[in-house]
Amino acid sequence: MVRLCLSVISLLFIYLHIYMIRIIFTLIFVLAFTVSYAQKVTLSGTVKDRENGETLIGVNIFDRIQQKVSITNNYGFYSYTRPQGEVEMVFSYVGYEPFVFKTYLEKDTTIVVQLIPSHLLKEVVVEGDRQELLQENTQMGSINVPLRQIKDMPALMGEVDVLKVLQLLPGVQSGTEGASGLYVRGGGPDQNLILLDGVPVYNATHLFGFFSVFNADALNNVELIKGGFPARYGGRLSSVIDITMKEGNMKEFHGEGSIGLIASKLTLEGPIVKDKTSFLLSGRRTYLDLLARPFIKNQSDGQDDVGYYFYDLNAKVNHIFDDNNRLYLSFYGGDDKAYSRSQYTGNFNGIETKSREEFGLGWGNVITGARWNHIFNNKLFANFAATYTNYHFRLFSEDESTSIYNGDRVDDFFKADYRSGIRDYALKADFDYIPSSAHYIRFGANHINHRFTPGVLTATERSDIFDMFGGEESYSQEYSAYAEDDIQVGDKLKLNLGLHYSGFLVDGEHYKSLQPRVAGRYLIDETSSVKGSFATMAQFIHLLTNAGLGLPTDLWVPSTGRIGPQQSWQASLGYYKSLKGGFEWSVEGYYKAMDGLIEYKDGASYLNMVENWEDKVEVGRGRSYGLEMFVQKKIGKTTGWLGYTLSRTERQFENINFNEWFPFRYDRTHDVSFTLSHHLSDKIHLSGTWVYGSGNAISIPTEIYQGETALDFGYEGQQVDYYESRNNFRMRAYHRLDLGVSFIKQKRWGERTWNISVYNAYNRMNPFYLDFARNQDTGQKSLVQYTLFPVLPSFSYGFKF
Amino acid sequence: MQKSTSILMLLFLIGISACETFLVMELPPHEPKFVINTSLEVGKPIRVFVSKSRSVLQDNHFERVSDASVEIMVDGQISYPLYSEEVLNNGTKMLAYTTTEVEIEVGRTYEIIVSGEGMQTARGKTTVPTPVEIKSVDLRSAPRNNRYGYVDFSVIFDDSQGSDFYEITVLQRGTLETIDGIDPERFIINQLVNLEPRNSIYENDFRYRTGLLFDDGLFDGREAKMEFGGVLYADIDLEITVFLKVVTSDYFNYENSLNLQETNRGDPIAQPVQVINNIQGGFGIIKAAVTSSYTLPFNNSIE
Repeated sequence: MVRLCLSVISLLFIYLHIYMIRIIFTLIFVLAFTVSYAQKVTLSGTVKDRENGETLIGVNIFDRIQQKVSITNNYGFYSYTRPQGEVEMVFSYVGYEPFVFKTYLEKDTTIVVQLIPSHLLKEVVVEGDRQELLQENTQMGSINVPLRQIKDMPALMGEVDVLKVLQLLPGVQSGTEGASGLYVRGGGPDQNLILLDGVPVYNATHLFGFFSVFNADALNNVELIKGGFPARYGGRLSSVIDITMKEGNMKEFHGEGSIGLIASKLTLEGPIVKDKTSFLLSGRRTYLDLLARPFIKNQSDGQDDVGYYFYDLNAKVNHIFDDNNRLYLSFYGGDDKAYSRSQYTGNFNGIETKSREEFGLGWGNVITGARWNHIFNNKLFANFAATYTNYHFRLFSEDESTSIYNGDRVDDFFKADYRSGIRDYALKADFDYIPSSAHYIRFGANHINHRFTPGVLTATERSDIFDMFGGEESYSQEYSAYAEDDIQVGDKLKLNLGLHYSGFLVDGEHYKSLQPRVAGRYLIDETSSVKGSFATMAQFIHLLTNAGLGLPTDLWVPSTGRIGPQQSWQASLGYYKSLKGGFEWSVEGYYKAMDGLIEYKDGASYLNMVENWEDKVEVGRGRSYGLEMFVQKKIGKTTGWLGYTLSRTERQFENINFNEWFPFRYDRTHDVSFTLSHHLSDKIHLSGTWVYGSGNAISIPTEIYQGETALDFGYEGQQVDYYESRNNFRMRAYHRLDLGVSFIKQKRWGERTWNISVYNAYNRMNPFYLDFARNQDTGQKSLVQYTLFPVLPSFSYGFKF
Repeated sequence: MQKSTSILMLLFLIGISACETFLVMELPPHEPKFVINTSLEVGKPIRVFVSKSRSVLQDNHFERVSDASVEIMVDGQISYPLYSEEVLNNGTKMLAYTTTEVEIEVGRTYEIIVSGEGMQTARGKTTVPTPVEIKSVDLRSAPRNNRYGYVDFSVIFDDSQGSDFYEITVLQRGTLETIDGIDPERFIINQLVNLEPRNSIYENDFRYRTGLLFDDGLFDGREAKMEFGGVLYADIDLEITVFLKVVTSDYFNYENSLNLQETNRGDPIAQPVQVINNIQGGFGIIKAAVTSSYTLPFNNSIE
């Protein structure tokens, strides 16, 4: 509560930044006054799924007479202003039958549209329904992947993973084999703003990065923005991954779930009060530990227990007070735990001993959010949110023993406990103001109270806490305000102009950043356009990471007096075209420059918990440029995409690689992804993905030579390992084919699905890591590549009712 | 049903047995290069050690090169040949290239060129820095309870403008008499002292030499006062000599990077360390230094 009060006080502090606020709001009013108020009427409302009452995000609303387009926002709200008269509006959305609304509009009107889901749309889009296609909007580098498509993909060990699907998009690269980390246009994994219902998720992975925390059954929408960021987003340099949870069925009770090789999950949703209040509850847990426990206990006479599991739980309640007010409460909690316990009781040489040893590793997120949607009038929509997010990591070891000899008792106890994490309280207000069909204005403000725990080690012997090492907890305040307008200039040109202003208060420092954002689209004809964008970004937090695996040991740290914020600018230019049959293709070029990046110094190790993190890092810069091509088919029996990226990403640090540019670890010259999903019939769905990526860059010594220093002492064997440069060696190219087939059958109680997937179908030996090894027979040293997953079949059983 | 269960069990077994396999990777073919190691110091003879690099897949038995053509060029004008001979280094005979025709002088630039049949010519150069005199040395004994005692050192000198690099070492000399049994024994003390800096910025865990190696980042162009401590013999008359060596930036960076790499060898988590190399067409280091000294008598006793 105290923290919340601090947040409120700090929020007030934000508003003292009158100068910047004035600029932003002046922009809003200038834009607003350009609007003509002559005899206009407004059509507004929300768009929902007729079956379950879920609001639909990004529905296209096309005025056939005026030939203009509007779109629903993240809460399904739309507003469209036009002259009085006859209207013929078409509401269309992928996976739903289009809805045509004809009337004579003489006054402002509100309608709630309910679209009917269509399992298979016809191949050809209904003639004359000009949806807002790829070429229409100003947004660049943004991809919305339908959940249906995500669920159709082959899955690693039977678990569909949202982040792994995003890795298949051009400009997005995976880290190492199997991991869920995202490297977007040369950025690091910390530069992705991953939002779950608007709340940042700091560590989005389970099982050391092999699975993401997002349970696909609980999700409604996934959007990735990798460039041309609108002003409403800020705080990260490289991407925004905006994930929205389902709201819960408003009409009737439903459930779905699956039982897989490593995990099972169950999602329940339904109305609490029909058409007023709904809930969603979704849980997932792995059970390898439960399966293995009897065997381990049996092997150790019941004295040992070793295991690992993860679980997550999503919950959401939403309540409609009236047409203008709606409240959402959402929760996510998830943990990973690895543990080893052993105990011993016995008598040795007359000493009676009882001992217990325990080792544990755990990490997880807790996320909660309360959001209130309020429609002030048919042109002004608002969302207010209060959120909490907490990522915590703990590593501990505990030994306890009691010895009794000749009646004398000796007790011993030792415990080492290492903790790190980040905790945020945030308040946020966002407004959508749609004065006319030529303007869509968004503005808002945000404040976050951060608490960083950058690695604190506590050791306890008997009852004395005798030492604490590492960084100390630190608090900081982050705030931002923004305004942007989507402006239609004539028939062909559309602009998105915006300003994002943010600041960060830490250790007496006050970092400020004004970030202009510009994006534009020029329609060449009805099916094609060119787009350009320029965006500057600032990020006040850093992730200290060694291997880039997305390990839970990665440390979130704030900008400090010594280590400033990260900053970037990115320019992109692209061509977009829609083709018949639901095909879209695009080509985008980009250049991104980054400053204030951190990297571990030469020789630094993150296992050194005693040294302050600031002493272990170098600050430098990076650049990335490339060309991305994308062909996608979203509708019909056969859907999928082909993406290709040609890019280069480099880093430069004064004291690393002798201040020369060097390739980023995940610099991939070529990156190809091909996904295909085909509905052979209502009962059989086939899917496949093929990926190819140039090898990761790693540092490997290629030669050794005699060192000088020891010659003084008469020793000639001192060895110097010669690294040609940082990340001088390329691993083998990565490629892999995954296949999947689903057998669907309608049952009396609902629907069941058997899914069989094969990961790495042609058994490619892809690199996981490289190391030098010596043959024990010949003594010959060699460089060995270790592969994690050769061919890996899996299956799962899914059900829906 | 039994058949499908068997198939599923088979798939499961394939799945769990699929983890961790390995493949031997090829490295680019290795071509040996000359390795030149030398430290050119005013007042010391020239000794250039030449060897050949080896592939990282080979062992570290570095081959001494005795048939290379080695020359030293002074200020880019006059070249002198160097000859290979056995030299004694800390009691060990080692093969080095030497000459008596050239004396290392302050401010001069020396280039070492090594060539040989079938090998790429390797060369590297350095300029000998200007010496810096020690203005004063102050020693203060700390309380102790045995025959050794901790001593605080304070060394003052003037730093010149621009980036400079220094190494301080301390030598203690004296005679120690002990009574072991009936007969007294005399020991000659001639030892370098392990030094610990007072300012933590000069600490580095990976350095294994006894001296302090530091740059002038904190006192550039001003009077420098270096404070450090070391353990000296107590209650005997000692002759303490403080050596202030002005070294080149390559010397400084080489020592730091080499020692850091050595310390982290075998740690898979640590970031790789690149060791500085100032040899073109080969590997190694050509260091240069000039030393001034300050000697004073001292008895490590508490008043």
